[in-house]
Amino acid sequence: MEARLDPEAILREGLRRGLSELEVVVVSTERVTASIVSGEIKPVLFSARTTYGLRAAIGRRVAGISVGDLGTSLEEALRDLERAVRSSPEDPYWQGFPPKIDRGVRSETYSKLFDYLEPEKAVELAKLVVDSAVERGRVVGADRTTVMEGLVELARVNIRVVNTNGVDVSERCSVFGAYGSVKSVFGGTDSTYDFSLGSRRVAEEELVKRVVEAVDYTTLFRGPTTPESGVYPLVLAPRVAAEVLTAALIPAVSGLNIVEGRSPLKGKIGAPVLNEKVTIRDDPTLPLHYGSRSFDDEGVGVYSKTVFDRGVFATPLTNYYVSKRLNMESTGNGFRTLPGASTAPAPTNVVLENGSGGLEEFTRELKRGIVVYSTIGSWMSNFVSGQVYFTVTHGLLVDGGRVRPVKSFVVAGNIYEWLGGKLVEVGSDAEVNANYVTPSLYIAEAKVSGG
Amino acid sequence: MAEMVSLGFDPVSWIRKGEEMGADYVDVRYQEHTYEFILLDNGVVRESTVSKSRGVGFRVFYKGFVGYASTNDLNEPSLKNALEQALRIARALEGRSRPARVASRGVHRDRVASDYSIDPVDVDVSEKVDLLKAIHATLREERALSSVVLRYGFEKDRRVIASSRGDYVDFTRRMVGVGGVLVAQAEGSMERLSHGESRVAGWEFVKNFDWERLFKENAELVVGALKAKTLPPGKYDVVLDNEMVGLLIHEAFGHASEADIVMSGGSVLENRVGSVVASELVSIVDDGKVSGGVYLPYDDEGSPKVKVYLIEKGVFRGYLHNLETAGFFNASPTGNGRSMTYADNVLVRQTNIYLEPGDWDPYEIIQDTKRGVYLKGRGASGGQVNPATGSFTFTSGPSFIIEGGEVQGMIRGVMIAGNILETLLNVDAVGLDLEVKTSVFGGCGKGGQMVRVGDGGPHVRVRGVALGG
Repeated sequence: MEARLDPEAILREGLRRGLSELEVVVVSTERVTASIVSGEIKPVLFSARTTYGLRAAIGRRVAGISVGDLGTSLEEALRDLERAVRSSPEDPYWQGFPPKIDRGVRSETYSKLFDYLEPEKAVELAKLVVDSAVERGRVVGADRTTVMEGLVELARVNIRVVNTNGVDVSERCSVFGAYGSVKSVFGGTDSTYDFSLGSRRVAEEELVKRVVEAVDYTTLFRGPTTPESGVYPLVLAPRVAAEVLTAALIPAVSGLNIVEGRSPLKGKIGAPVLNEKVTIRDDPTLPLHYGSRSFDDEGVGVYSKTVFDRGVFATPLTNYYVSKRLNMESTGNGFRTLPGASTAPAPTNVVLENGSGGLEEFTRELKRGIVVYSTIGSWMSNFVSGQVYFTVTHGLLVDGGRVRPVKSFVVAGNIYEWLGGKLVEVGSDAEVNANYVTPSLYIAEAKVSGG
Repeated sequence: MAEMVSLGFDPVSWIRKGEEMGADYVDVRYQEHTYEFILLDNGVVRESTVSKSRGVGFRVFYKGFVGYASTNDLNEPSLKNALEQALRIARALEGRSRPARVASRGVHRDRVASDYSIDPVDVDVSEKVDLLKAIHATLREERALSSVVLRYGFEKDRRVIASSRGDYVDFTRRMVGVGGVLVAQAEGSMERLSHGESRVAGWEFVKNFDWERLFKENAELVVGALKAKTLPPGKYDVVLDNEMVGLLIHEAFGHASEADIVMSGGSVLENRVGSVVASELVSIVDDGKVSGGVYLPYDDEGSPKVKVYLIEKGVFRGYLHNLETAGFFNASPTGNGRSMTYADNVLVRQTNIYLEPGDWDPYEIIQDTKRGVYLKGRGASGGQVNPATGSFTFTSGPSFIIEGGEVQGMIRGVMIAGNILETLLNVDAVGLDLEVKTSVFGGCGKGGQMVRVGDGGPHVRVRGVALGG
């Protein structure tokens, strides 16, 4: 889709109207999705949408608008923007939109396969999911295996950021996403498991691998019970480790949360806060990874940085606004929820560095403990207090050499304890889940609320 | 023609074009959406934005195969391209999918808007900012608060649905609300509480509400939670307040009763219609017009939303439907076909789900509980369910121990886990104090789509619930 409003004209006309600085973000997305319902491919969608984000300041008065109506004229857009800015109170910390900051990083964010964005490709991939599941179901001896529900998404996104301080960057990104639930029936008993995948490449082989793995897990988690309440050693599979980091730890490294007094990491830069086995990077340069970018949403160049270095909190993630308040350079982590909204610090690709061992080794080492493969509710963990909790949908109880499937119980603890004194080991079996690259985690103890 | 003037295009003529191109059935979904958001972060306006969007989605049936396409460019070539794309997709699915059948129903033509007195669009931003600043000022004296984030939200959502059947429904809803996240800190311990109030209404709701009292109560709660104990893991008898009951039934029952999930084979409620799934004290309703909830007289297929009993006196009565699932199950559409935007496909979604009131005074439920936990919803984060395994979970805000029929010391928020086919069987007391709420700041997520919902109920006691935290 071609942009209707001309960003240069917006900047020019905005300055003429008395706005002291402006920023224009143009996001154009073309997307095809194919859904799977009960092994059938339907429905299939195509959407094309361009949205403009206009932000401006007069002195320290700042406001923004998002325009998702392509019938909007330049005059209407600027009138709304000007009204919003003039009625907004001053932000005493406002330092302006960023100047041009190019760190020379050009990440691989687009796969040429997305040049031809056809619904047929999404249908073909959805069919691959269904066929792979059915075939694997036969191999594992299920009476019947089906993909109950799922979705394959292919999208290309163009982002352009222009401001009156010299920023003018564009980036083209491709997005491939897939998720679903498979169900196998064994002797009249159902067993289910979910799979998901996110990338900037069409990762067909990985998709098939995850579907096959999900079907295999339907055999492993047949006939679950609920464990007794108590305190257990805990092993988290890579994707659960990613979920825990997402909800309980990474929001706490946001410079905005630190500077505004809602992160337990305030005042802890340079201090050991986690076990020395924990090193976490924010890396936007991984080729064709889900969170890879060359520039953030305010046009600042990105780079790879270590956030926790052998347990020491090395740096918060910042956008330009927060970096000024912290008296540091922006880390290039300013991202938005809407084109017209202000940026807030957010990660690109989060990489938990490998240690040793892995899910299988940790499970073998357990005398009595819980291994967690899949959860619901981990996003409700509390990064302010560090409290982690989730409900297990697919887990294993290891007890004196016996291994049996378990579900429907709450696991709780504190992230700074789990990744601190209670951390036994970080695995070496890193797995990519959307923008997280995490191995398994072995934790000495966690509270379990079950039967 | 009047319709074309108001929308900038004529949906009916595009339906005819689709039919001329070979479609058996076309529906057009037009949406105009405005969202105003102001965020006051520790007294400073961090965000003041207005988002406006407009677009059109076409759904085309060709021999029962369905294609969707959408655009936010309402000029003729873009609309034509989207319509052709939808038809092309539908044709491409022939032989690669099973044809769908939509349920038959009458034709609906209506124009309706939710009630309001003062349109928030007409209220100056400065008045909204002043309101947030006044709340912030009242919280300054609470020194344990290390962060106060306050937010104002307003949404105007106009949807027009027209179809080959002859439907033409034009519906506008205004929602408004104020919320906040308070963080307290003392002696190396931190806690947060997120809470707000929203209504389907205009600025008059914001203007007349006692926000300062609400947020002072919230501040007391979060500061109290700093010193509160965590609950030892285990099973407890719990008394749930109105908000917690809403979360419980939305997660523990609502999702599993959505017919598209049942159709996919992903619900433990498959083949359970007519069976006992809850205590006989439990009746659960999905209703698009209940007071306090989100207002939905029609769904996104133009079907009127009807009040549906999912459970009546403990017996499961039936599923929530859109046109396609109603066709599949030979049932009547219930008006639960909803999409997040014009660009998304129609899923089966809850509207306002609530548990009907019983005859217990809420205080009597507490007095009748020898030992348990009084779970409070203020500050709860939400919930999630896996309808295929039957596992559900949700969190509470700061809550209280019950000892000897009295509310005792505070505990920090907990996580609740349960199983769809077990938990509601253990309800043994239902209060008479029905309350339903919605939110302009969030909603329910499914299939990547978030829609506004409401939920609630009276106070309820459930025996033997797993709690952790």
